[in-house]
Amino acid sequence: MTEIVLMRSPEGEVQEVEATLAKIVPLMIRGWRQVMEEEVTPDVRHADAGNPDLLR
Amino acid sequence: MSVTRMQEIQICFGKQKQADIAAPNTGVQMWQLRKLNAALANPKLNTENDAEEFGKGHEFPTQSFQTSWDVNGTLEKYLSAEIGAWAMAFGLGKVVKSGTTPNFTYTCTPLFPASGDAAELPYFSFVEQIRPGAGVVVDRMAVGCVVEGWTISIGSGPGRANSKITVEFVGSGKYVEPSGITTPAATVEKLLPSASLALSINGVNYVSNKNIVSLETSWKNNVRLDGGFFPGSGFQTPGDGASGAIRGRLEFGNRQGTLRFVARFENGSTELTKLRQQSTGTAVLALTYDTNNSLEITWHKVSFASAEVGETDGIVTVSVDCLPMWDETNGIVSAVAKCGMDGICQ
Repeated sequence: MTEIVLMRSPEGEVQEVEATLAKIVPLMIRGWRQVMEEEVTPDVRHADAGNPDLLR
Repeated sequence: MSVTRMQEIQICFGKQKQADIAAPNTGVQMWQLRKLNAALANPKLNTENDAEEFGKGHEFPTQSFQTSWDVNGTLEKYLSAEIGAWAMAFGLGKVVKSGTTPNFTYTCTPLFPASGDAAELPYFSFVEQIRPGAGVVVDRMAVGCVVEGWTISIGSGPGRANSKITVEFVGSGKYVEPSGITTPAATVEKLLPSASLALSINGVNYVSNKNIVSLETSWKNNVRLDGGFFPGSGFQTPGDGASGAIRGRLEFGNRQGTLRFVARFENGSTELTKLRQQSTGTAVLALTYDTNNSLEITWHKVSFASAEVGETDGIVTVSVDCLPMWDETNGIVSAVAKCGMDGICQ
């Protein structure tokens, strides 16, 4: 199974991308960079995004 | 009286990148690798004097001043998966890491400021030691170094010398003496021998047709050394304006990639035709130790800039200089380096 890496666009969009040359390189040369999971703020619209009490 | 022989020299340098140009790597961020060349990365102090100043009554200098510091060095090594990954990551500048032990994959491309990337390359510290401690001969660390360029040379023959890499680096000028670094145990490297080469250039598989004789590929950052000195760039001893200026940034200049090869030339060989037609295609070279340790470099669009028929050991060969060009989708070059070492350029 192909591994997934997290990439962030210059505009801040974070995407899961297959860790293959064909998928990664076109993004890298357009300014996307790898982000580690701890750098990604959970999307509050997701049910498991942190403590729901804090969202009330 | 004992002499100090160059075989005693140990080097270690940042496997991980520095946080910034002024923050040296710590010992745990470094690795020790062996090298082939004896040259040292000597810090060089540049000085100036007051000979041209009026008011002294003569034309002779009366004072000398410490102006600035330079550091540069060269690493010559048999090509291994580890140094290959390090050179691609630090030399090209942009890295995506994937995989887990024992198969880490580093996908590397050059930085492109037009896409928002930095113009500064990742920094590392470089330590040289001969008998560190009480009987020290050399123990110093150059801080804030970047890769100026790398060259990979592949030749015909069974020996390790037929697959080599040379890495040139330059530093900010900042150095620490003694280094304060305990050199880690030497890293066991996985060599990438010439016999493992896979090579396809402009539609021709030069290994399956058994025609490749040798090749060389390189990358040069043409680092803007003078641009490293700017108002406020700093001094060798912080706060001491007489200790000589150091660089506060190291940015790449106009970068250059090269690929040249020598192949047997025979009936049906297409190099001269492709030169005349200026055909373009990819150039992919790969060297492999095993499934977890390899290096693959792709020049995404090359044409032939020159092709000259000659001879090698009495066999008719063609020597080709490729022109790496920008590909709209994939840029100019990318490298996929696999090895068992975690954290390279992270």
